Amino acid sequence: MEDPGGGPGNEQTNGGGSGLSRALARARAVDEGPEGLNCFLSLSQALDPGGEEGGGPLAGVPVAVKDNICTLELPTTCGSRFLEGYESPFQATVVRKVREAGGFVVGKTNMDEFGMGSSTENSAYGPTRNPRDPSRVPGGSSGGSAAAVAAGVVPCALGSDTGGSVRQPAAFCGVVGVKPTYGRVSRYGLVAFASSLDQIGTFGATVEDAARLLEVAAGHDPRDATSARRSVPSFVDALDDGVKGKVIGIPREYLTEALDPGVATSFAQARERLREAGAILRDVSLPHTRYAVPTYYILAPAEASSNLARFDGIRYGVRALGSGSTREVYEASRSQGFGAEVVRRIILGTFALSAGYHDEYYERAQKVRSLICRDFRRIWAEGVDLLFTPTSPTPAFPLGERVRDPLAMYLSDIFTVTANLAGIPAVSVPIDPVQGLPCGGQFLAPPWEETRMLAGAAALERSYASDGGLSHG
Amino acid sequence: MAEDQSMEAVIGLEIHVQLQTREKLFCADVVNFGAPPNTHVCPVCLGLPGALPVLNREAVALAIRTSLAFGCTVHRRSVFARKNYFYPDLPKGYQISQFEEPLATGGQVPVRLEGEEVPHLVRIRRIHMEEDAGKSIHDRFPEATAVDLNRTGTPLVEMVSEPDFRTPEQVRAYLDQVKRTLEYLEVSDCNMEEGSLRVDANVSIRPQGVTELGTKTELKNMNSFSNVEKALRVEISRQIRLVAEGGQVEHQTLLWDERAGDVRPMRSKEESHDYRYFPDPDLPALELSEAWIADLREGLPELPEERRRRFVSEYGLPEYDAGVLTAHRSLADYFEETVEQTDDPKESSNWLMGPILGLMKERDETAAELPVRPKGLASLIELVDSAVVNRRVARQVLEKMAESGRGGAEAPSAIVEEAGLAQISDAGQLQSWVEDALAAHPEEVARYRGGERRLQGFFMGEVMKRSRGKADPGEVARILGQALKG
Amino acid sequence: MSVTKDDVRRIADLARLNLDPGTTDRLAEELNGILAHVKTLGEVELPTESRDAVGEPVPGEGSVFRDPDLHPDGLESGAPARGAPEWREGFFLVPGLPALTGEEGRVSSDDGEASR
Repeated sequence: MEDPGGGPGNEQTNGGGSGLSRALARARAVDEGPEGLNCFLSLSQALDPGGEEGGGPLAGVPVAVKDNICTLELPTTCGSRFLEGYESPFQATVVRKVREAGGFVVGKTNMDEFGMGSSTENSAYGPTRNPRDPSRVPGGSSGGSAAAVAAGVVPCALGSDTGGSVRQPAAFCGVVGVKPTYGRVSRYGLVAFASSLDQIGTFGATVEDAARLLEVAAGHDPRDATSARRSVPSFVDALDDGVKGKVIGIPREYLTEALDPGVATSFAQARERLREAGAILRDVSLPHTRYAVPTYYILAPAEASSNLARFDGIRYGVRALGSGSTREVYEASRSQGFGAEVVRRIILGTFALSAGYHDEYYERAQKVRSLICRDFRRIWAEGVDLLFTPTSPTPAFPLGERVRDPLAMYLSDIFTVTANLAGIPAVSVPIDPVQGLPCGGQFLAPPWEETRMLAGAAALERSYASDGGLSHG
Repeated sequence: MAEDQSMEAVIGLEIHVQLQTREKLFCADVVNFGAPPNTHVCPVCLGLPGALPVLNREAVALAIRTSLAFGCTVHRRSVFARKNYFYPDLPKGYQISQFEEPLATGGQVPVRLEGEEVPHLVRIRRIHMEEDAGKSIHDRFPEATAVDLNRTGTPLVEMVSEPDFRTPEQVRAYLDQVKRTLEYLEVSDCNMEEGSLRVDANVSIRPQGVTELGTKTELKNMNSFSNVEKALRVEISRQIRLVAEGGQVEHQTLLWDERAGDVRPMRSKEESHDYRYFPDPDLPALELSEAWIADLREGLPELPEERRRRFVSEYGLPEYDAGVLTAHRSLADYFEETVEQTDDPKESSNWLMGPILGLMKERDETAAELPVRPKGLASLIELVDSAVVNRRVARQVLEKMAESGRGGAEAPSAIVEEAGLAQISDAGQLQSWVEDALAAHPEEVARYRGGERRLQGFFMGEVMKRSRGKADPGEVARILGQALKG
Repeated sequence: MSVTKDDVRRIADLARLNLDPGTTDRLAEELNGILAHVKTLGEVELPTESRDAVGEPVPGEGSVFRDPDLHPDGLESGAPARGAPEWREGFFLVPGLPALTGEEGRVSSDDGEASR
């Protein structure tokens, strides 16, 4: 099996044309056959890489893009039957930036439909398999992008993170996954799931790969009113800053009984490495953590129910044939086009917003969200520089194990949703595997402190590397 | 109309006004009426996946000015909210509007009925901003509805009044006043036929003296001010009759059917609408600075009501005339520019209210569009005042000015000279025409001297004929009077 | 609180989803499970002040307005037609809506369209 820490990226980054064809060949290889991973839903047909010759921070770098991010030449399906073959007439700002930086889009990756899921089993185009153990899920919803990096097809990839959809698959696949501060990266061209929670994030074979792609993707976009007018510091340049003297909080609410004992052990060892690297560890409390999942599972579906109302079969997408009335067009097209999880969340979200329940569910969840934000603000104000937690309570679970139990599936987001609710940046970096399965440790930082957070992740990565890599669990 | 002195009608209005901005509310498409279908659309207003709204500053400025003009409190912070429902010309499946935190609340519109000295104040409950939907056209194709999304995303303000109206006439006066004000502000052209102004009414009745509101019905589909009045009359009658017969008014939506001259219920089951409003997460709250609001307030033009009062006090015009002249800002401007030259408000007013308005109607032009400009009119008035031409000839000159497109200050004199229209006041010439006229009609002279004084008119006519209309009537009358005395 | 099958049907109607009876039953059950979990939110002592929002501009930065130099992310003419399931003479088509049925919340002039 590939060791992602070694960086297949080295092979990829010499020369546009050959880099792209190598990536394409590798993509076809990993996806082919009955044991294929099914990372990609579409692959670039271009012979010309389409990036700038010899220039730009991503010159010659092949990048995979999650299929809910609009591109011009390749379809954007969001893993849904509804948008099968949908060609967007405009491209996402981040895709434009990647191309302007010299990178090229290898293909669009598989995902849970419209971002709803934690395993990529909710794709209308079949699940993606975990490259480290193909009988298991790669995580979700950005499973295809995580797997593409883990399988060595590309050194970095774009994904989206609404409740953990970049970090959790990164942890499951043994790669790095970053979610930036809300507003750091433009959402223009990201098909919206939950607008106040969504952010485009990056995967990397190494922290540096993920940081470099993030640096290119980030920045104010006048086409996104929630995009911050803030300059982007160089994340890559600060990766060597280390954690010496930094106060790293370990929130006790993340060390729950739900934590797999193997994960707990890996996490404890990771913590020690941070201490050895000079960090000052501190036990802290974020008392409203236990309300994060219920809050998320009211707010995200509520926003999604509204964002997905545009899928009506009238201007694009699936249109059920033979519909006799407009109402029938809506109902048949949507019911035919949407999978079970999407239907479930639309129902849940519509319910939470509906008259008579709006205050008890939606309004209440918004208020609890404020309290969760406040927990974090208090911690930062007390002098904590970073927080460190496990990314997911368990390593990758087997395909089919949770897909019929929505609540069990939702609970795998337990450590990741808080960062989305609070709008703060977070990164998952590989720590020691658990019985051969990848495991992730998560750093959380105050808003706009991606630099500090990535430096922490890089310090941890260096610590393992200096010992010859991650243990073999 | 069924009248019942013991019952009173209670009416509230919701007006939607299309703002005259260059671009749409949340995207950079140009607002355009009458373009081929689906040609003024972009990913944002088409609701394509991945598109995002960004607010148009010009629209906010117009909405603030509107709110200030009606005396509303403009809130420093307001929030855009999604109103969720499904309709084919609503591409996102929600309309971006404002709900719990609107742009403005608490204003008033002075409503003055004919003959009333003091206006009745109708309170405004709220003014908020929202985007327009597209158009669904039901009769172009058989068994299909055609959807044109050009209009989607056009900025609207919605003005909701308190139920302060008691009669359809008040409603009409209100609509006239609102339209006038919005036109003065250059916020909207308020054209109901084109859909830039839409009116919905809520109507209920209750016994006189009762403060509780009765069950209301919603009236829609009225496409002109006079249809609004008619529909209200019909609905009020219907409710009064219904109650008189022992029935109860049902809460329902009724559509005005112009052809039938009646209201009918909408053909759908009455489901209460659950719009599931929530703040739009794609748009930050609208935060307005005190400075900007103050700036916009200062930049407001003199509003119709103020201007009307000033015309009465400053120019000594009668109420009615002041009302006519201030009906449109361009007309009021035209009047004042004319007076600036002539220094004669009464005369200027007569010309404007008569011949100029007539010309505007004939040519279907506004005062600003008329080729005859205020300085041109002023010169013409000057020619009349100095008896170079009489009024009748002056009107001819006015027509010629309009036809030839010569509307400036030099035009009247030039035209009079070219056409030889100068009035003849030369006493000798007039005398000879008078004598000629008398000589030609000895019988009539005799009859006049015998007591038929009204024959003076006949002789006036005869002299005018001989002078080809150019004789100075005043002088003729004097000379004629002398001559007839004998 | 318990969500009934009727509730699910009503919600599905609001959301324009066609659910067969089996799905309706299943969803009612799942929803109740999720809501039971979400019920813990009821224990929280809520803040009295208005809620925070993520992503709001820092006070003092003012509102976010569109850059006047930003052009529409243009669609070349003909683009709306591409991908449109039903399109004729420049219009999107849907099965005929009976004139003036009054689907929710129509702004009045659209009803006016139909009567012209």
